[in-house]
Amino acid sequence: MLIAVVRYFAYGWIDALFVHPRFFFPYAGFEWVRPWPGIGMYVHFGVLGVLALAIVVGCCTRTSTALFALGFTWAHLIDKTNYLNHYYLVSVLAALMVVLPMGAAGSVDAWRRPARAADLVPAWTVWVLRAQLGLVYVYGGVAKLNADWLVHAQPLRIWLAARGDVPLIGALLEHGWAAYAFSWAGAAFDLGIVPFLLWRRTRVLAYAVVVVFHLLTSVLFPIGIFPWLMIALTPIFFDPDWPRRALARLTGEAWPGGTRIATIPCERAAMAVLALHLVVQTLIPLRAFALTDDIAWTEEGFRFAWRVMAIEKAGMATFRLRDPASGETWTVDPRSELTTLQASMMATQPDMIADYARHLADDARRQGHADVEVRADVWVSLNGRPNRRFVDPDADLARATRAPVLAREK
Amino acid sequence: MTMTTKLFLVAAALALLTTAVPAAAQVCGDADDSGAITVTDGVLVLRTAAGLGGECDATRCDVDGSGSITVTDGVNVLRAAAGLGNPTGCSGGSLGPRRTFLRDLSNAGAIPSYRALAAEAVDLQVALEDLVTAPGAERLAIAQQAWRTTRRVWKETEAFRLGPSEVQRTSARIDWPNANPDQIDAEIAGSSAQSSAYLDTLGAQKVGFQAIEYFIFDPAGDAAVVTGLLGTENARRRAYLLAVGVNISERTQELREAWEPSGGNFGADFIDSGIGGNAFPTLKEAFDEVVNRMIFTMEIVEERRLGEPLGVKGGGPRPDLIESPRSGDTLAGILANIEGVADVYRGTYTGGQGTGIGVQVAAISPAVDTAVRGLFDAAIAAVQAVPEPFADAIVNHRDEALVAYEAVQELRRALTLDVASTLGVKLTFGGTDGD
Repeated sequence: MLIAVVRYFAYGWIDALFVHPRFFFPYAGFEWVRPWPGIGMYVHFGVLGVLALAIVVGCCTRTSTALFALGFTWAHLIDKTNYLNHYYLVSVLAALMVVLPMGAAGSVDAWRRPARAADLVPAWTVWVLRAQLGLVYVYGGVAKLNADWLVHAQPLRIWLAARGDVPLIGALLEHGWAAYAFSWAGAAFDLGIVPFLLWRRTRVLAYAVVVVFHLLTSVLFPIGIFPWLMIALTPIFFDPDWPRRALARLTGEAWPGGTRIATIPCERAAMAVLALHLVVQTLIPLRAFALTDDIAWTEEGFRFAWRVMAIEKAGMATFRLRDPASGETWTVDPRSELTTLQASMMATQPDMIADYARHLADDARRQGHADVEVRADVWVSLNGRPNRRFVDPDADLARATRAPVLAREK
Repeated sequence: MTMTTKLFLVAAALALLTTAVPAAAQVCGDADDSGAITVTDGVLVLRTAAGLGGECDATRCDVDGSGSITVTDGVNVLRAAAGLGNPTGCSGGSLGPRRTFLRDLSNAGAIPSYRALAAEAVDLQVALEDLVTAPGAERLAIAQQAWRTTRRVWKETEAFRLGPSEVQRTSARIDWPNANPDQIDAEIAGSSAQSSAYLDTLGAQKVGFQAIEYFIFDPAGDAAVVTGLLGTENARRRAYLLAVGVNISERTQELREAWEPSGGNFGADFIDSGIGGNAFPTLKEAFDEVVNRMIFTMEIVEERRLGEPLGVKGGGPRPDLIESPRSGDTLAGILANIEGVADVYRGTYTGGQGTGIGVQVAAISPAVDTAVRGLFDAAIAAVQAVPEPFADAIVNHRDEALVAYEAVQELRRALTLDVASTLGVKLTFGGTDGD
């Protein structure tokens, strides 16, 4: 995460995502989470960097992790535009790490306070992390079980054809069969990798596949730290003493473990909370199936469901405002206020379309148009299909929480 | 077998996979893969086209990139064998489809188009020299026609306005949306030397096509134009007009030179993006830039050249926002813009048929390709149906003008949403960027 924070500074994302925008799309119930004024967001990410470093070296680990989880989640609650599955994963893992005994060995904390150091952790703490990662893989695979992915090889057909310039394998990617091969292999990988990681006999080979798979995705797709995050996290499936055995093999010396078991404050309560967490994590991605039969189109229940790299979607939106009292009508192009990223994300997500419509209505009311109506003309293209009108153009969105999505022609 | 051995075998298999390379280099038109284009190749293509048993790979024999091997391909190969051309349209082969597109856009599109533009600009310069030497109705008509022709060629090139025209800031100096007559008149009233070099120091509103339009088209009629160029009192007007003509000619020559193999050779740099060329770091960035430029051109047409004068966002017609109102050539410019973008999509370049964007789209989504080709036809027809001058049309032929606006809007939407996403193109332009 230290690298992730450095990337925020290096690529100018703090300004682009938190300072430059004039409007933000907050999550329901979190409208009070706003960017800090002035250079506040730079300070915020600077502190996150320091905290990430503290976590790396195990200094004040629990406090550092708690503050990091809070600060990182805060930053990403500011604007729905910036939602990414792997940032959500970071928030979730950071929250778990507050409870788990993270700084018990090989850390500054263990060095400073040997009495609190430990050589072993309760098995359930490892299984919590394995379960969390397993959910990411499995639901990532479930998201691929649809006709677009399996029958039409979309959106990989689009994405791979665009990467003909990748050294060595670029020419292969331009063939249709490559899209099918990657689609089916990707779905099989996501759905099957966890059992193979759990089975001791296949674990090493499975991890090699994990590394190759994520390295390929890092080369082919702009998905930031996600591949590296997963490569770094997946060894949690190995026997917990694998670092000692690896060090012994590398140095030729024994790295024996002790017998001190890490203590967890209020362990029973912690177990209960984390068990509940895993139940919630299992249920949240399933909500989409109860809400809609066309998740990719409506994006209902799309967030927090590990639907990683599942669709290629693009949208355009304009808003028509009408003051019934005066009959005055006017059109607003959201790009006149929103950033390019915000405008493109908003145009494909019904809740964000409604958010912006309400914002326009509020603006109009402040300018004296008391009962202004707001309607949206939105067109969306999904997985290489010709664009279609996305939301009901006659629906008044001035007070809506979600724009009504029109059914897609299948 | 130990786990280490297993891992080694897996790694070796992966290494083999990732080092697999495409087939050896192919020459477009070299049907028998002999390494050169000969009459035998032409005959082989013709036999294949006629279904007479010739075996010919489309990556070598579909030389116009139409998607099938036809008699036209055979004729083109025979012409090439006779030294009368160089087939460029094969959609496969060693370059891959996207680099093939860059090659055709450069060699069959941009370079021939900039050559044509530079030649037309010379004609315009000559026509303006004739006009200022002896102002008269006949010479004025010739200059006006030269202006229209040159500007239309320029408008067509806006579809691939990238590289030198942007780096050298040439585009703004050739074609700023509107001239500023007051500032031009102030220059004429001043005492500065009126040369092309001096004009290079002035703002874009005082040079380029729009400045020339200010001189050679007048709402009061052609007689007023001629009168305005006669006599010693108008000597500085004549000198200024001449200098603008020279300036446009020089700028377009620079642009041509920048693309030419014998000059800056941007064309080769562009084609070789990501493999040694300096134009773009990667092939993807070069390809994405072209698609973005096409979309941006259509967006300018939709919003600025059609939408704003029509007042589609409220407020009613705005004749003052029309581009090139004095010449009544507004819609011709718009049409040239759309046709320029259509040429890049269809591969119908100035230098002949080649690989267009559409071939890439059709390979992934034939439905999108078919729809987009239809939308180009519809938009062109809709604009053609609006009578000039546009200033009159936005009031008295508003329905036709609105139909044209909506047709262009639908086309732009398809390019932005369907084409860009089908090709995995990253959209980089801002909605309100100026041209």
